[in-house]
Amino acid sequence: MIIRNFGVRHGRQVLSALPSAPSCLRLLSTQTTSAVAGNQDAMEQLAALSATHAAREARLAAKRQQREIAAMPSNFKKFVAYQKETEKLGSEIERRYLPDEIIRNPPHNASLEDLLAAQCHMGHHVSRWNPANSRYIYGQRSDIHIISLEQTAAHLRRAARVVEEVAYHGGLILFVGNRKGQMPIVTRMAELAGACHLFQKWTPGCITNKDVLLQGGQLKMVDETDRELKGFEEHLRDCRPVTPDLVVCLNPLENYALLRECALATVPTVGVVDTDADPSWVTYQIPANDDSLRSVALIAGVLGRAGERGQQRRLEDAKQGIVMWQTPKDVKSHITRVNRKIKEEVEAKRERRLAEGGADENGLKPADLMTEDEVLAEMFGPGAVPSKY
Amino acid sequence: MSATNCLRCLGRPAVAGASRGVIVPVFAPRTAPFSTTAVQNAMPGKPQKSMEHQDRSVRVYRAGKKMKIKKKGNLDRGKPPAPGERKAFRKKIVLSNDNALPVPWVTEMVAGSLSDRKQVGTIVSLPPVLQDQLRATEAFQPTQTWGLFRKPSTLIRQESVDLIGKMEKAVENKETARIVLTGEKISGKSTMLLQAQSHAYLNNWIVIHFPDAQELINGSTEYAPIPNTENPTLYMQQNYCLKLLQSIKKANEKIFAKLLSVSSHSELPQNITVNQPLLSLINAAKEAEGAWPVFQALWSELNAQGANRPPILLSMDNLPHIMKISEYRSASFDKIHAHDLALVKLFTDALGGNARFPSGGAVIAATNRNNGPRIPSMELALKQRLAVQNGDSEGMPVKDPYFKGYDERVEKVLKTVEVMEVNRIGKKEARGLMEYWAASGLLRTTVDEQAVSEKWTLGGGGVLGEMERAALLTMKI
Amino acid sequence: MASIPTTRRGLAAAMRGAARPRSLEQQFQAMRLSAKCSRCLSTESFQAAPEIDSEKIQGMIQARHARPVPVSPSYFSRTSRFNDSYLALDKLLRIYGNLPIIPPNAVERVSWKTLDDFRHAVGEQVRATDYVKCLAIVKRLHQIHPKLKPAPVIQALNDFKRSVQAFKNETVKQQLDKYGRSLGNGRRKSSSARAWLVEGNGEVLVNGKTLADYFGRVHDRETAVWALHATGRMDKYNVWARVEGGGTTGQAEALTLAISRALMVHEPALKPALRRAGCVTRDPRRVERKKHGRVKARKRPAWVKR
Repeated sequence: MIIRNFGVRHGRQVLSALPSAPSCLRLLSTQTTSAVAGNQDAMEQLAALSATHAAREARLAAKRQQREIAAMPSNFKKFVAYQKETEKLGSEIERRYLPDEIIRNPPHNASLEDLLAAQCHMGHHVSRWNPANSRYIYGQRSDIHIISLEQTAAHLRRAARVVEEVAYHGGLILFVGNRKGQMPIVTRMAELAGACHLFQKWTPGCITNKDVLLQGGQLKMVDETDRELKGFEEHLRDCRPVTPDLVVCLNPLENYALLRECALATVPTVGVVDTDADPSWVTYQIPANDDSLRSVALIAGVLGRAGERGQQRRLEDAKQGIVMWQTPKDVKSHITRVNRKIKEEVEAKRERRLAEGGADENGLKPADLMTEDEVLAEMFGPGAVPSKY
Repeated sequence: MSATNCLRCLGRPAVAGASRGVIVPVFAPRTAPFSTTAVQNAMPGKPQKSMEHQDRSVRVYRAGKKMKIKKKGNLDRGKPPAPGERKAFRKKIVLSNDNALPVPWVTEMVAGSLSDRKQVGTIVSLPPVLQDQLRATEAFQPTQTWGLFRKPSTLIRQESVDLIGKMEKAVENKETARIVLTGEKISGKSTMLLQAQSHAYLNNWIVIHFPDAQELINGSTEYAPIPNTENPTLYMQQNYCLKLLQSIKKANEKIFAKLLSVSSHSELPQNITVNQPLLSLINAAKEAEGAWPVFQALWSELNAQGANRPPILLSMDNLPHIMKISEYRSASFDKIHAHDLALVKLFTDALGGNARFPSGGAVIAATNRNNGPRIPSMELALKQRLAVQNGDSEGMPVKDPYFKGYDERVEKVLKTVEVMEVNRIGKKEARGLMEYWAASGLLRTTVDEQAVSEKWTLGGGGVLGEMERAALLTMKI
Repeated sequence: MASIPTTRRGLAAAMRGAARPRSLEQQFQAMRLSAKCSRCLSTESFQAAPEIDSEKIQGMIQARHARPVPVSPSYFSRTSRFNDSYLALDKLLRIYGNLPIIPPNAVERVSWKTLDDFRHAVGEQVRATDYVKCLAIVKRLHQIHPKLKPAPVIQALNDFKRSVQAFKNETVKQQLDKYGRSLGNGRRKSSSARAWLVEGNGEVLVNGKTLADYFGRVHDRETAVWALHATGRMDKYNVWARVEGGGTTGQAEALTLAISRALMVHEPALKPALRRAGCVTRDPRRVERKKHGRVKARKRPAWVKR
């Protein structure tokens, strides 16, 4: 009711300040009006007129917009066609820098030039170094440690080899990079290497307390050619969650909990170790700059490609019957248990059918078969069987 | 209290802090020396704080603050009001407002104006003589809005014309009209009483008005049993009686001066013989002690058959109060029924039809809704009477068989009365009223259909008092 | 094995028929299963009945190698399902990001799942910041011109739509009933009011009482019929209303709203006037809750130094 009070307080001033309303407007009013109410009515009429004008404008604008939207698809088709036509005109740019090229199409191996171009050699300020990294450090420049790229290349090759072999042996690889901007890198490399990825915070306990934390995680059973197998629903429901067989960590500094859990569970780890990181946290160090997305993308790309190679090799070998991994014990026991059970059921069914006088699969009836005595007689001669025992 | 201080006050201060170590408030009275309001400031012995700090010889240790509520000193609140002053102020009646505009088209009330059916919806002002008479019988009430307008005026409503018509008819037939006015809260019942009285005064009736029935029963007046009354014992209220006599005298002085007594009253403090003016009879009651016999004598004189008496109007406001057990106690400490009080009995007898006025008249009582007690038997009786009057025998309300609080004496009194409802006013009357308000400068809007309708709706559909509240008594601008 | 004499012909023949050495029991079984008709053991070579072929039995697991692998690559994060859909959306945006979009005011309004809804749907504790990022992509994809929107996008967006789409609801248009009454209801604070409006001469009944009877305060009476007063319709309608809950002020203001809504049914053109009079919008304010450590909702206890 503020408006009413406002009217009470200020109405008189406003009315006195206003010029007298034109009489034609008052005629528009359908209500009986007194002299005092005249001004107010005129104001209302004016407001209504301006309101209708604004409404008309709005309607027109809406119509215009609708027309534009309706024309969009045809315009877009024209645009695409035109683009296709004019695509081949002009000069062809052969080499150009595309920022996400390294992610979309990572190299199989990184040369020293590549590493240098990706600024893998840039360490941290000398005051922040970890002396355990001294063997990876080439020197310092402007108070910044320079990582020896020869070391980097060597370690990268070793790590790529590890990743490739783990993938070849059917291991489960986990790519971890949870700094800002590492999500596309990590997901792409995991996609290449057929691995898992993690671009969020590692939930502490996903390895050491996996039975609780990963309880709801869905698993599937695959064979040597990665086809999904059926008949394991019961097993997958009851089995324990899986742990990775190799963890590739792009920023070990932020993943203390993860690396510690890996160490406890004896899961080997690959890590990009900058000059301020502790190399003992990871099993296979790759001394490189972990702060630059380019550097990380390059290193992760090489590792991803290695994983991809490993998977390809594994699948090719599997086609020829070479399988370099063993079925886990619990899966094996599950298979035998299931098969035995089914076999027993079939046996029992057959027995039942024979007992009822039906023919077996060869068309023989129980009467056609020898009795035990006859068998013994056949085996050991007619006199071998005592008449009664 | 030392004389030096006071003397020093008079002189000009020479040195601040005349002697060290002695705490002497040099500027103690901060105000002008001869000011009468500085008495408290000048109290010596209470060293001022600022002086204390100036004196370095006295070390002041800072003590912790304490939660201490300062007591206010003995403030001079002035003289308390004299006994009765507050009540007088509360009951003060202002009948005019010089700031209100005079309304030229309002005519003065004359003898026939209230019975004129054509004048329904118009406003008439009360002539000064009538004002004095009404004032004497306390017909004006402080809660009514007399004080807003230039002259006290009333609206002639349909109901008032009906009421006056009934009174006139009764007088023609030398009968007594017995009417109870009911209606909603602030719908104008007391004002109707006032109009009835005005009509009576203007037509030279004798008016006896009990302005507030509550005063009779709430134990605020002295009372005593009337000797020689048994089963039930009646009680007289001499003080109230005296007051009543005086108001009757003041209001009806002219008529009483002409009327002569028909019998002699030797038992009164002042011997009254035959053919003396009734005024002298009333004047016989000088003190409270003789008031009741005088009133009785007056009552018998007024009711004397054969003598040429004018019609009588007996009226009472706040009727429900006398329909219950009073606050008074008998000698055996039993509660006294209100109808055992002689004055109340006189009125209820008249209302019940036991009194016959020689040349007719009216007994009119008004109920009240705001401050009144709930009297179930009265409410029921009034409803029943109303149903009878409307010829509505099917909708006749019946007693609640499980309720014990019904009072037979009340029912007996109200068995034959006529009930008149003071209803809401119509839009025509509302318009007349609002035009009067606007002309008085109290309503700052143009009075058109809309404004009338709005106030009419806000007033609960034409309850007059509520309309006044909505239109006049709220701070609008 | 050594104890069984091997000189017997039948046994020797049986032995020959077996692919690998057997236990005595197996031999016995084989003998027993051999048919009577083939009792002519004199023939030198014969083929014994084949073993039960396990491949013919349904339900048996034939795989020689099997290992469990996670279904989702986000297996090790706690929000794997959310991550999957987020990455899928991200990919869709990368693919279809260059399709033409329509301005936001022309986009079909959709009520997307709230964070709680989504959490409930996927059963994961999705972080609010992540979900906001995800919804931003969803909204961007939703902006693609409807005729050019690819099927996978439509499919992906369906997961984020709420099951009940409030924006598809059509407002029910109130109408006069056969007696010429219109019903409006209004609420304020904890009061609610229903008002029936008929053409009349300005009588108002609230819960069976007159306005003056029901509202002791004149201000409340004015408030209750403010909609009629502001439009100058005080003498043209009768009101019959029921109010419940709350105090006098709340009831009066609930009535304002109810009457104005009922009035709009009679005369829809009055809406702008009623809006200017403040009778169209429901006042959403409620009593502020009391907080612990405070005397009332905001009032703090007195602060004393010592």
